Amino acid sequence: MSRHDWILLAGMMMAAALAFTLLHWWGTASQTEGLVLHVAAPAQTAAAGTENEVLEGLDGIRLEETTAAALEGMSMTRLEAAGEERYWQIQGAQGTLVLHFEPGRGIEILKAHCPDQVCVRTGFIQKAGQSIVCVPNEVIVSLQTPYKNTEKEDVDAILQ
Amino acid sequence: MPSFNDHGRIPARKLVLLALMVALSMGLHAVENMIPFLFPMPGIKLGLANIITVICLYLFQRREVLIMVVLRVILVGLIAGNFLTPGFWISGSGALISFLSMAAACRFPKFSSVGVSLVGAAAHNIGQLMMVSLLMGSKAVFYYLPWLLAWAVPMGLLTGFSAKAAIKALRNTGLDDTIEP
Amino acid sequence: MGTMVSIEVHADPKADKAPTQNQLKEAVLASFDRMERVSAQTDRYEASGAADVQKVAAAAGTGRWTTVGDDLFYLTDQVQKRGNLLVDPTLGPLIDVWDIARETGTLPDPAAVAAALARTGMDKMALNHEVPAEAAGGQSPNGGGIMLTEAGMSLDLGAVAKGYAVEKAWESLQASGLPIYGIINAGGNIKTLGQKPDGTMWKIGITDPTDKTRCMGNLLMLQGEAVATSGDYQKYFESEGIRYHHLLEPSTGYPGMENHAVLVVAANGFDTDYYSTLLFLLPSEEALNLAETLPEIETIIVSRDNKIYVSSGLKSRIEWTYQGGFTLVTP
Repeated sequence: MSRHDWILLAGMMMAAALAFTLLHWWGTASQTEGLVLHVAAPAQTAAAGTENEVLEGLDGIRLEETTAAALEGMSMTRLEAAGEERYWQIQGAQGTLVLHFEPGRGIEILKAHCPDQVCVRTGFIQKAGQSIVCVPNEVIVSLQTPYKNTEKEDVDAILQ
Repeated sequence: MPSFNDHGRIPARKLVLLALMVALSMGLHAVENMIPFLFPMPGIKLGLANIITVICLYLFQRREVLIMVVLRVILVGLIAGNFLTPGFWISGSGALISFLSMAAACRFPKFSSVGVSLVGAAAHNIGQLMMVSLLMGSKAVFYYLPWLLAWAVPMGLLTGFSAKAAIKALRNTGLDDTIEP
Repeated sequence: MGTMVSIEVHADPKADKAPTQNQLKEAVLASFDRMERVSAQTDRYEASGAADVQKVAAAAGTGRWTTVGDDLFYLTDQVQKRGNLLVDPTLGPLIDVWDIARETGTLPDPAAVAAALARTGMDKMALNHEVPAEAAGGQSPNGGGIMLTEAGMSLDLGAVAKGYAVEKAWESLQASGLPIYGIINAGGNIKTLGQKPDGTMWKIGITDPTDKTRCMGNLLMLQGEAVATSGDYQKYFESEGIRYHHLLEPSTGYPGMENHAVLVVAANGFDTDYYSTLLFLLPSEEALNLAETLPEIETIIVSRDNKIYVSSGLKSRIEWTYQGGFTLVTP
């Protein structure tokens, strides 16, 4: 390795360290408090006939069949406050995905019909900016700090 | 057109070597897919196929390497059955951006093949991430950027040293003499 | 009154004779004083022990009348006249039990709840419209006598006092005769005064009952209109994942579990407070049906299962900015 390789290596490690620091600082500012769920999925496609495959091992679980649009903007604070586990089934590009919320742990993709299962193995997310991506299904689940109600400055008063 | 003969054709020997390199990179890609995931994040792969790209950058002309990379991406896409799906575009953009940055890094003789590989690994990850973000219309995935940058370091070192050893071995065989124009 | 009250008043720019800063200030101070008077008669938590409610409680079970001020007498009289047992001004002992529970974060002993419940009930409260002779020199000519028939009883006007106080503050501002517009905001109770110079309706942010930091929409309000919310997020503690809030169901002695929040719009501040409490304790659909039969009120009901019911007169007056996990029910 040449001297310049070493400089490059050090530079990359510093960039990564800096990015981690920024992320840590930003991500831990709030846990689930005040966060909302952001779910992006392809436009509703017909069920791919793979449901049985996906739903294996989910006996006794109350699945809520829903859409990404319905989950969009769901308040994590509200989910935590309700304090119960939730399971939502949504449609991806290749088949069904099962999202799982567990109080205190966050959101995960529990099951997904995709070859690599990267999304399932990502596990729980619970901080601002974290996301789970399922590339084959074209689904992104992430936690975001809500767009501050821009109307808030407009209102004359807030009814508490 | 130093790499082409008077008839505008690539010499047969070189063509064979290029084809071999494409086949090798596809083979490495397949091997990589057989290794269970290491990190559950989009775009985090070993990037073994990059070894071939680095080797080729030192042995062939840049445009030939480009052809090789594009061929590899398309053929892998066809074989894996994800041709023109999001997965294809993501790995394709990673490979292409990685190639472009490595080709640029090659021009600075101060970087050895290891340095070039490091640049390539980082660019590969960033390129994939950009494509994921673009395809899904969400910036959320950039959360993974620090991990991808960090992962690019060992990944770049691995491909860099592998490529270095391979280039040295190839030079020792004198094979490369026959392919230089 | 346990809440921050803000009174915001501006001079109407279109008025021929603009009021001076001093006039505005005096009008606002007089308005605050009027609210203070309500508070002085109804606030059980007043440290000085001067509130009329405390005198009534002290005399409970002795068979003696206690003379109280006009505001407290009006409130108890109104609530008793309306007669719905869900809004009960005699819940004092029960509220004490739950106040302690909230402070310690532990559920009250069911026996304690039952014992407190036994010392509540509007039937054990007597009102005397004739101001008893011994109070002839009293400060409020429109007051009256109140008697609680059993020892240990006490009044709590928490369900209606704030809305009434906002109404009285508004009347005070109106009485100033100044060309002004503004808003009185006591947290969960709001009343608008006059019209904004740009002619637009008053815009009130509606708090998301499941996330106090956010607004789920804006309510457009006419001039001189009042609004109140009763919500399980305003005062509560949690035990084993269940939220125990301050809105108690008079028949069981426990917090009402039908709804997350009920918002009521009406011309009169007292009505908004009274009905938001009443509707909160009813099952959502029953509450909506009741509201539809009452021409003086409009309502938004957020049920326990996150459904939003809106009465017919309000539908066009809400700008939803965010609905999250709520479902809007349109009957």
